[in-house]
Amino acid sequence: MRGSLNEMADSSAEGTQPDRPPLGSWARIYTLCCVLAVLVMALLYWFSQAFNVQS
Amino acid sequence: MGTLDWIVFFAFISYVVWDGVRRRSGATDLEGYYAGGRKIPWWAAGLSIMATQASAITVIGTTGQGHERGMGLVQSYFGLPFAMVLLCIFLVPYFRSRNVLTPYQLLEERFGPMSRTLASLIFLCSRCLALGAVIYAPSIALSAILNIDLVVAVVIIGVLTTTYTMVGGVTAVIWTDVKQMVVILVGLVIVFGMLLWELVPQLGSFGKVLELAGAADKLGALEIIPENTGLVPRTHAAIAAGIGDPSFWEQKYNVWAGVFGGVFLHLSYFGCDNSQAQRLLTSKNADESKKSLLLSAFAKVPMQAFVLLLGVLMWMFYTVTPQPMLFNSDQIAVAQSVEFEARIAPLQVEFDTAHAERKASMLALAKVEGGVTADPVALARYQTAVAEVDNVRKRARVLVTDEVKDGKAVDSKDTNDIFCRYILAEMPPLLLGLIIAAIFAAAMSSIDSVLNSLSGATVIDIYRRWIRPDCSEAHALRVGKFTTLFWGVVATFTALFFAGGGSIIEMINQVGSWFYGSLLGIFVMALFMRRAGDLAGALGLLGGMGAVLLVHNTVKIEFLWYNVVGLVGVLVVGFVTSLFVKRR
Repeated sequence: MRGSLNEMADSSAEGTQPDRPPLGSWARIYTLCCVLAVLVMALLYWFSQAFNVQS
Repeated sequence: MGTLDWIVFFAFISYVVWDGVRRRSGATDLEGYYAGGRKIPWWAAGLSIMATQASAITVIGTTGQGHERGMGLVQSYFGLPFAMVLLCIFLVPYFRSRNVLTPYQLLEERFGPMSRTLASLIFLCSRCLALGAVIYAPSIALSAILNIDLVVAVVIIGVLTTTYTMVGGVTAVIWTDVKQMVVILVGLVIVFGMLLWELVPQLGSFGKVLELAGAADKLGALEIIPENTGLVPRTHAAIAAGIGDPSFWEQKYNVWAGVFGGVFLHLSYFGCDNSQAQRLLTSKNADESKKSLLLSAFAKVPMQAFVLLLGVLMWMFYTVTPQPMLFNSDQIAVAQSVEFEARIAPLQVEFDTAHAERKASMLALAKVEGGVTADPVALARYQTAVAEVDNVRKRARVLVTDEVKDGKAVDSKDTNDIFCRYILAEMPPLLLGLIIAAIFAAAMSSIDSVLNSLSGATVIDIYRRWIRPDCSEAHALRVGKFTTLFWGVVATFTALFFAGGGSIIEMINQVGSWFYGSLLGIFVMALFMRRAGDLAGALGLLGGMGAVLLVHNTVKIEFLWYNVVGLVGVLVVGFVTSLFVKRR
């Protein structure tokens, strides 16, 4: 599915060449994005645990 | 506002309007007007995506939320990065597979005209309603700052924004968004610096400021264990009869609602709402569009946490300095009226005493060695004082609102007035003008995005599809500019109905959640339900909205979950229909 969608996009009527993805592949970028999102959540969890006192 | 502030304010607003108008040279055909000639760099489109979502609501509504409820709201953005990745994988390549000007055009190719038109109409309805709130938010600031009627403020913002959007098209929208995003970030950093400048010398260190804010339960940014664990939602009848406990689905902010409910909200908003999806059509290819989406994926959650922290710091500021009992200027006027003066006076005395106790107990707690939990007595005293101030403020709001609904006294919250009151009272000359300019630029650049996208859907999906399919490009462009004007007028009038109070940021999300799930559902069907035809698509859309309506009227669940309900409704009705009606 993904492959066919990307092929469709690449062959769009605009005819522009796709750029080289950042970090070499889109899969790496997506993984980095998800890992960072989880890290930010972990950081906020630590922040809540370290500072918040429920009343 | 002093002369210097006025100069900064007018200079910036004039620049934004001029910058928008001068982009008209790129709006000579429909592709230029609605897709920027597919020449917009990814970073500009990405900043525009962020700016459109951020807007004045981020500044006014989110800081107000931080002040009143702490940082819990940040959890509703946890699903955003994951949603962006899913959009990059599935929807962006689909959108960029054709040279379309609205994403709904693809639905006609995949399903047929009914599905496309219905999806476009759903977008038009939902966005028009939400747009009223987007204009209303900065109008509060304008009316408070200039001491003018809210209606006048709404009209001024509506007219200015409509003017340059009508002339410059999406290119004007994006490039003004870029500038406003920079200005709003600078504005927020200035407010952050000002707050720390006041707080740190009084409390000792930034760490101490955080400790004391946390002791007041303002820093709960992530709640893993939900307050309510029951999975069966309560019916409205049961709630009215006082039967049953609140369910998991009723809790607004926890990590599960944020990640799972939020992912559907953001998938729908960024992928299926033309005001955002349109940006994905303005870059030169799919890869550029992906990069523009991922900019938000990386930056949005930290930015939202930062803005909420500003609200918390503002609350801290009002703990160590005198705080108004009421923030809303209308409520203040009522409180000062002859009728209410005698009734509010005892509350004011009570508030002053409670506020003094809150400050004293906070300063006492600040001196405790070994952290705020080292002295449970001092901590309990502080938490009691915090609750007492909130309690008196609530009673004061209820008193001046003087309204009873469903047998309960109405509490018209002043969440959206806190930031304005703070900057007006505390910002030094020049900086005040800059912050106000930032709020306005933010507001205008959000409104313009929606106006252009509403116009795009009207012209491309309705006018050129059904009314004048054979019209020339020049004629369609003229109609496009006229419809921008039309939607500007409609939005301005809609904004006048939002003067009822409440939290704007929630209002926007709630309005969107009514429709977004269904829009997401039809695109999911387009990608994954190959057997579904036009009737299945159209009935699916109606089924999705019907499901949301049914759920809304029978059980109590939070608005984030409406997106899931709408999505499931579309898929179920669409699938069942496709079993009986074959795709042509």
